[in-house]
Amino acid sequence: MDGELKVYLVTPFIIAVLLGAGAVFFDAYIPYFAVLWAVAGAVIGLMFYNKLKQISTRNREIEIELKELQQQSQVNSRVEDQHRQVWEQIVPVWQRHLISSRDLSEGAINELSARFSHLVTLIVDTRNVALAHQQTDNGEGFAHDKKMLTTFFNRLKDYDAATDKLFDKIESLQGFTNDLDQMALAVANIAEQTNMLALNAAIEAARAGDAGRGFAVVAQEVRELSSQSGGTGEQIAHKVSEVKAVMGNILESANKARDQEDETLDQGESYINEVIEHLENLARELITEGESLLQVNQQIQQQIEQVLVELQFQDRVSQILSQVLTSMDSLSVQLRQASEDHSMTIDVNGVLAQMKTNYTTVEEHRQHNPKDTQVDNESAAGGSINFF
Amino acid sequence: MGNIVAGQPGSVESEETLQYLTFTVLGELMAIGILDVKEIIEVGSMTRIPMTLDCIRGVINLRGNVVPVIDLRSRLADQPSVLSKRSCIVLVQVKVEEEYQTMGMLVDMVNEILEIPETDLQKAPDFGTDIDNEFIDKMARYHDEFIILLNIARVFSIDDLSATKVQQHLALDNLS
Amino acid sequence: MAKTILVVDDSMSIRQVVSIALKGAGYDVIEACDGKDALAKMTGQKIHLIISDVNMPNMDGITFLKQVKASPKYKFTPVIMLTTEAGRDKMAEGKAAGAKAWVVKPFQPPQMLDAVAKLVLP
Repeated sequence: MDGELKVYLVTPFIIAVLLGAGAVFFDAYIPYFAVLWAVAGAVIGLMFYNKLKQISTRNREIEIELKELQQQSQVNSRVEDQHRQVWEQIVPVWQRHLISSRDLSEGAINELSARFSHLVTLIVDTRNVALAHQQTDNGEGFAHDKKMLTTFFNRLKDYDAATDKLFDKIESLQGFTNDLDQMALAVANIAEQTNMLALNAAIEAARAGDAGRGFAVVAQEVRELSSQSGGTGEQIAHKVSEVKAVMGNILESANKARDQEDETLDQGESYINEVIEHLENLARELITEGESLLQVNQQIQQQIEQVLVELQFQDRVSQILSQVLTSMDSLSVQLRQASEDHSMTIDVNGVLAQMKTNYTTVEEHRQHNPKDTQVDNESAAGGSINFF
Repeated sequence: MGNIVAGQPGSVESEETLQYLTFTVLGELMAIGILDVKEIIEVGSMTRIPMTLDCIRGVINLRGNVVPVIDLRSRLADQPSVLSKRSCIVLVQVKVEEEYQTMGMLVDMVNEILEIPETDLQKAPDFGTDIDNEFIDKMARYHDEFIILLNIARVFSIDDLSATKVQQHLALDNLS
Repeated sequence: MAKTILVVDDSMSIRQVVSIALKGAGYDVIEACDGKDALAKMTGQKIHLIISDVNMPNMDGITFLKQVKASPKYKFTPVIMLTTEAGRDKMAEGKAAGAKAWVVKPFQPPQMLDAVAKLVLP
């Protein structure tokens, strides 16, 4: 429009200047120039008229447009208002939901970890107790018991052998009592003979009269001695027969006892062997069961530990949610400022860049721009260890 | 024992204490004067003499001399002796036709030599013993027991002993 | 005698996992929930190794690490940073402050135990 206006202003001027200059240089042709001047003026006036007519039409159009624009701008500011309201009223609610879900999951997972780690402690304790028992109660301890029983039993056998020897000795004593019997008989015989000798001596002494008196006394003494010897011999024989009877009884009961003892020992040995075998089988079963229980126990422990490892996600989730919340906060602040000061504009790229600097996890970087393959080079993967 | 005088039993003066050899036959305690006894010997080997009476047990060889032995149990009670460990032969001096002869007497057991005072002797009772009165010389009381003092001369009477079994049978037949 | 390891993390679940893994391998464990708490708890203790988070309230891990390295008693105690922080820049910051290793969560206990065994003071 400005260019067109310039043309309309400058063109008549140039034409007027050119006609004026022509009239000055060519005085003779002034009437012609006046006619030309008038024609030009008429033409230009017509043009102006048209142009003015055009402009007024345009002005009317502009007025209409302006009115429309004004209406439009009113609508726009209403939408903006609504956006702001949405941001200011709804976003805080979202934030609160985010916070509460973050806190809920954190609380729940902390509770889970605590319980699981308590379980692990219990399992480890149980296994340690079981292992301690196994170390003391396994085959070794049992072998010890068995050895003790066998030792005890062997002692019984030794004792049995010793009593057998004793009985053998008693039996051999019986032979001695027969000798003793013979000796007692010999004593009795000697006494008898001595008695007779003494009697004969007394008879001789009586025949010798007074001369034999001393001898008679001696003979009498010898007789008394012989009768004493005879009594002693009889006593010996009597005692020997008593001893023989007692020994017979002892041997009889000893033989009975020995037979019983042998039987008992044989039975005892087979009983003990049976019992030991039974116990050994039981112990073996127990050990096997215990071992499989321990294995299961260990597997459960590993599983729970793995669960605890997996629960680490909560820490990352919590951090990601916190980042989102922080970004929401800062965006809210910027929006509020922009709505108060219309000259301010929201720097979207700046907000995105700020968010990026706050990211900690690889996942955040990846989600920020899924197409960006640079992320993996700039940050380390989860579980990686870098030694410095 | 200063008062002891050799001699026949019963022929000694009164108030004297004599020595006697006691022995047992058939459970009865008997005795003879010690001076009648020559020796006591054990029962050794004995040889029976055929045709003699049952009471003559046999003869023995005593240091070269043949000595007849009568079985006192058989002689007194007509029961043959059963020999035991304690059986003995008492050798006595018997006067036969003015000559002393040694004779053996088989007894169940020899006991001891006793001193019995004269006052404790008494006459043989008319009854009360299992033995014929003619064999008993006297009875002696010793403590609570009675001891039969044998009449040796009667026991070893030659008239009785020299009879044979045939004669004995005949005599018995005559009696009946 | 068992060696003592200080575990610093504001997340209880992380502390539990680390603690169970370390105790299972025979170490004694002291737990703290942030840098400040850790400094208070380690005073007077013989510490053979420190495992610390980076992002924590009150006092963050890098500040804590700098304080440890500035302390005459603990300046030779090795520190492993255990964090969700995966950025190279942060890692470089940790290295400059004196950390011995940088472990990015989530970690697997066997790898962590390897690192601990390599670095723990004799």
